[in-house]
Amino acid sequence: MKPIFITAHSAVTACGMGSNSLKNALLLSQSMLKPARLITPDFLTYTGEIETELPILRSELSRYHSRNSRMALAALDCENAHFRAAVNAAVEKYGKHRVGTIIGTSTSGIYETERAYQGCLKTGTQPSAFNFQHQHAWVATGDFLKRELGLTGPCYAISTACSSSGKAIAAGQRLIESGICDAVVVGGVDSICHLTLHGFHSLELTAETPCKPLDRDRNGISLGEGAGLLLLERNQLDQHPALIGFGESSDAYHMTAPCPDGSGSALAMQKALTATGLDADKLDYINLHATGTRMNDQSEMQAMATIFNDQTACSGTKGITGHTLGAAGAIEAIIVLLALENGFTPGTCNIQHVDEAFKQNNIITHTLSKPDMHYVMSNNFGFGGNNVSLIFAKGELHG
Amino acid sequence: MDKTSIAITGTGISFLHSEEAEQFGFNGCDMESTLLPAKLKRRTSKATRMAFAAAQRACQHAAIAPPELPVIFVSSLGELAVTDRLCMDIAQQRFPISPTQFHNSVHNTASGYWSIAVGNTHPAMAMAAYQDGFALALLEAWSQLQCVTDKLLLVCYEEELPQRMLANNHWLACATAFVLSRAPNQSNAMTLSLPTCETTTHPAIDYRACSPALASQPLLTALHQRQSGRVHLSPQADATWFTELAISRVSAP
Repeated sequence: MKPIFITAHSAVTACGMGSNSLKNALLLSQSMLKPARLITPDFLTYTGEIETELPILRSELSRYHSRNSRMALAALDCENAHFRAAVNAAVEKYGKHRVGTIIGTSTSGIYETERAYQGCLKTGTQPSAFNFQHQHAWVATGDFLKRELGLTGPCYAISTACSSSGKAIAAGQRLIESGICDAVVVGGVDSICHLTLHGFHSLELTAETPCKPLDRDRNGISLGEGAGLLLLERNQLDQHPALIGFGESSDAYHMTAPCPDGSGSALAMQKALTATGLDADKLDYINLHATGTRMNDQSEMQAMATIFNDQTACSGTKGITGHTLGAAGAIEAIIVLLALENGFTPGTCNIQHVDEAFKQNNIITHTLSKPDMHYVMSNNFGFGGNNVSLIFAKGELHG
Repeated sequence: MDKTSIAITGTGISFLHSEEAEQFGFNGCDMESTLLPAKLKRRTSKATRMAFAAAQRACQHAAIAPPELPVIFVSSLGELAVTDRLCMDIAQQRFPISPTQFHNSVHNTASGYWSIAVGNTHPAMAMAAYQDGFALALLEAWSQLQCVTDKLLLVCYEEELPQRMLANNHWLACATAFVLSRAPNQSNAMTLSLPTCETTTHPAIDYRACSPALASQPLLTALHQRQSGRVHLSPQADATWFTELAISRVSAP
């Protein structure tokens, strides 16, 4: 597979505005989970919410107004708008028609639709500001970003539940390798909403305490929200890290339950390794999907044991950010890039007792300094048994 | 491989109302699929059932077993009828919401059930690009055929629009499917060039009357009539997607 370079990234999460705030929370292993506030359901659950006020879209694009688009706009402009500047530089270099946009999302702007339905029930008419096409249709946030950034390359949304934005990164690589684009803005955006809060609760998958992935006593997920954006480019000759492999697969097992033997997720990890030509023991760190449900973590660790030995460091970080669903693939890709760039392995926030049932067992509980990292991987698995694994390498190895 | 085109080796069509299919000259396009287990049939949306029927027909037409094909499912709305009902339950505070309806509301419901029903462990893509969905799914298919697979199944499907979401829209409910492969460099092929987007001066069409799944209808008609040439892949608007269809004389399907 042709390596593709990540020349900028930006994450807006419960940790704050920008990848640096995410890095700081990872270094401190600081959980951002608190009882749900944006929406207060009639059950106890913790969420990772963005509490900073989000920016407002400029008036020419106000039809795209949604919590998702506002999070995406925040990701463009936080930390001195370095991400926007990198995209502008790519446009300058390749031309606006050579820069694509692929955004992963699970529920897109449903937060606005839920409010519109509530408003409609009270007043009898749909609120005039409600605009399904530009707020809720799955490509709405991608379309907004494309217009905000003045891009004219291909733009589409990927919505495969919790693997959405991991797959968006893989799709971005293909658009570049196949010669369709020279650069692609890829990422994921999802907000807290009633549908996912109540839906996961109905499936009995939400925890009443802050989630504790990989713990012996784990008992479900805590939802999060956020936006993660990455700029993929061909032909960089400097020190930028590179995407060097991806693997995608389907469990072909069940809509919500992972395959107990982990064979589906193992297939994605193995395909990613094969694409890089690396032996499994070359990976320095793996960010697990590790949602904190009994079955998901067990299945993923079963898959890990079939491919990796006891030395491979791995951890789960949803105890910090919450599970950001369609944005998790992009945010966790940024987490492994932060680990690679800054030389540390993130700990598994909230873990107290590593589950002894796991066979592969080098779970990092506390954040550790690890300056000599070369290769890292991120896993994401979604409903429908939809799996993706991404492998990144440090800049100088492929520069 | 031939880097300038991809081949179509099978097609399939399904309409919610098969008499509407006949208006386009398509016959035998109901939404029955023997691959959808009876238990699932009761629990899945019309969108998923139409997608299954079109996908099964395309695989049969291409004479290829469904588990052998990576899939790309594209839909503007996906499971919007399920989502519409859940949003109403939420507005009326009818809790708990149905766990089955919740997982059946995800955009990759159809592709997920397909991979489970046919035992397919290949990658499953579920994507959307509103009115340009079909064109961009072909572009995604193109990039996959260049980089990761030599054949795949593309399914484009659209249900009727819930009026609460998009009032006064009357989209036809239908699904179309295509088995695509790397161009085989042989004479009996129907091939497509890389889709391109052009700025045009056509007046924007009235989207309210046009289902995005019908964006594949000009291609299907051209295939049916064995008409090589330029084919629209998205509704005429200020930017419209095109491909060049080439049908060689002894083409099989």
